[in-house]
Amino acid sequence: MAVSFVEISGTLEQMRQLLAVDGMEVMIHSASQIAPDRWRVEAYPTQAAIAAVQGLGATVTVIRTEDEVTAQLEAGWAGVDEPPIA
Amino acid sequence: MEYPRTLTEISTVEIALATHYSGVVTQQALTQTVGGRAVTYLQIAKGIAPEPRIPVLFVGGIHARELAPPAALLSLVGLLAKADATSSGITIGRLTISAADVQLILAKVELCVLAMANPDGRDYVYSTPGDRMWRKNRNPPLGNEGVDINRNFDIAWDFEKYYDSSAAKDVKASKIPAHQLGYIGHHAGSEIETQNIVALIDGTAPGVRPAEWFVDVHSHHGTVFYPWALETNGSDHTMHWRNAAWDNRRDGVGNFRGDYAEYFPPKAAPRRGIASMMAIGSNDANSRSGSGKVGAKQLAEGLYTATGTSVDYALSRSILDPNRTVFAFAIECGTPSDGGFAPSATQYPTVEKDVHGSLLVLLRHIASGVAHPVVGEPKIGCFVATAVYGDPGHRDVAFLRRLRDEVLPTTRAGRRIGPPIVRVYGRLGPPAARWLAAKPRLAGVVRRVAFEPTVNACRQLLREEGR
Repeated sequence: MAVSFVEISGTLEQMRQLLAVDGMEVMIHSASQIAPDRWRVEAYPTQAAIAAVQGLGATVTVIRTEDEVTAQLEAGWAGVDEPPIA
Repeated sequence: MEYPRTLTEISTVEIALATHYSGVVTQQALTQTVGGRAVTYLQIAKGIAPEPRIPVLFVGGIHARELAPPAALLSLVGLLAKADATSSGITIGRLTISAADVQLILAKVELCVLAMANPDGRDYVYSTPGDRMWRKNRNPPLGNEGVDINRNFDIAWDFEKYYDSSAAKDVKASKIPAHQLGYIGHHAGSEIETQNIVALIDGTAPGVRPAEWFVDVHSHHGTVFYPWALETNGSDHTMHWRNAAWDNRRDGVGNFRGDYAEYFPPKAAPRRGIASMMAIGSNDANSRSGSGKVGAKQLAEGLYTATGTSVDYALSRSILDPNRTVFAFAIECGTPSDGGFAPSATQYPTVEKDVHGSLLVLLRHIASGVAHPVVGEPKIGCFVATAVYGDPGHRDVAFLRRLRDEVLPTTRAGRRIGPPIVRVYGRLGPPAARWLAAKPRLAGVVRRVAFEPTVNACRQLLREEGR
């Protein structure tokens, strides 16, 4: 399933709903407070999950698109000589 | 620089290290996985020590998609063994480990490296069709189920019982096998991969003594972490994960109630100082300065929590056994800019240096036997004052911050009452600030009636004292 890499910012209550969003993998250790009622976290969401998060009222900033994340994941395997396992 | 990623490549490097440096490096086997794949670890020590060595355990590859940690751990073994063979030191960027320090490490430390803890998962990431984002094991071997090894350890494993219902929602874990948050398994410690790591931590694996130092290497957050992952750290010894009186009542970190804080054993207390030292090692190895430096923080610092983790399990041994102290850390090496979970050949060296830098300074510190570095906990923002003034940079807010952080600790009374006040404020401040921020007229009244006269009076007092 294709995912992008994003930064999500929002209120405490918005952020506490993120783990329940289907298709959203939150990088939990990246959570930080940026203002009295403003938090920020990094995540790998599907497109549907981004829409759901925006529906909560949180702000989503795309750092890497789905294609860029896919390319990055493939780049890590470049140069491997063995054939993939069937 | 290509680096070993497949199981064949990783196994080849392990065998080469054990063969080429047979006087220092030994390969040992653990229990095979459900998929029938071998799990092996390396032991690194030199000669016969006159006194028992200090057992240190480094683990990598728990999460299948994180490509760099196993390779970086194996190359660390190679660095130490080669430096020993050539009677030389190790220099990486600004970091230098002298030849004498290398010899001290090999003489004093019993280093155990489990580079690839989850081979079934790694093979699935690489296979076709596989999943490059797969982080769990492959139990069962087919389908999209599987257990997140780093949620399967026997420490607050049943998160729905450990927390209250609100805090349980802030845990990145699931009881549903195919769930994205990470399935915790059928029972605590159910997985062979978990059992293998436990055998190394608890010293039941062949030739291994119970670990006194434990580091679990992951990617990609660019931080050295210390426990707890499951809660805020506290000093009340009745607040511990095995006290059933707190079951279904623990408040987590995300709701800022502050009712519960997991007891942190004082004997393992210098965790932040050691983690900071490791972070400096990473920054020195990559010659970093200014922004973008690797930092140190607690795993549960933020909004969310994690249960059943390797690091919390290792630390918990310090509480279960009063005669034992385990210092436990997690390294999140690399950043999204360094390739995230899958660094390319050109990005990998930066990530590798992060791992080498932090672990080499840790090994040097352990072998040296000097006192642990101590660093205070992170400063807490002036939440309420910021809400009242509407600007964290307002001169009154800056003055209050200075009063708290620089002036209060220099007075006898301040040293006594300061820490508990700051702790309570850290808990109550954010919700109070949110409440006030939504009421600008009231915030203005609070500012005129309470804050400005107090700030002015304090300024006058400090002026009279010449400060």
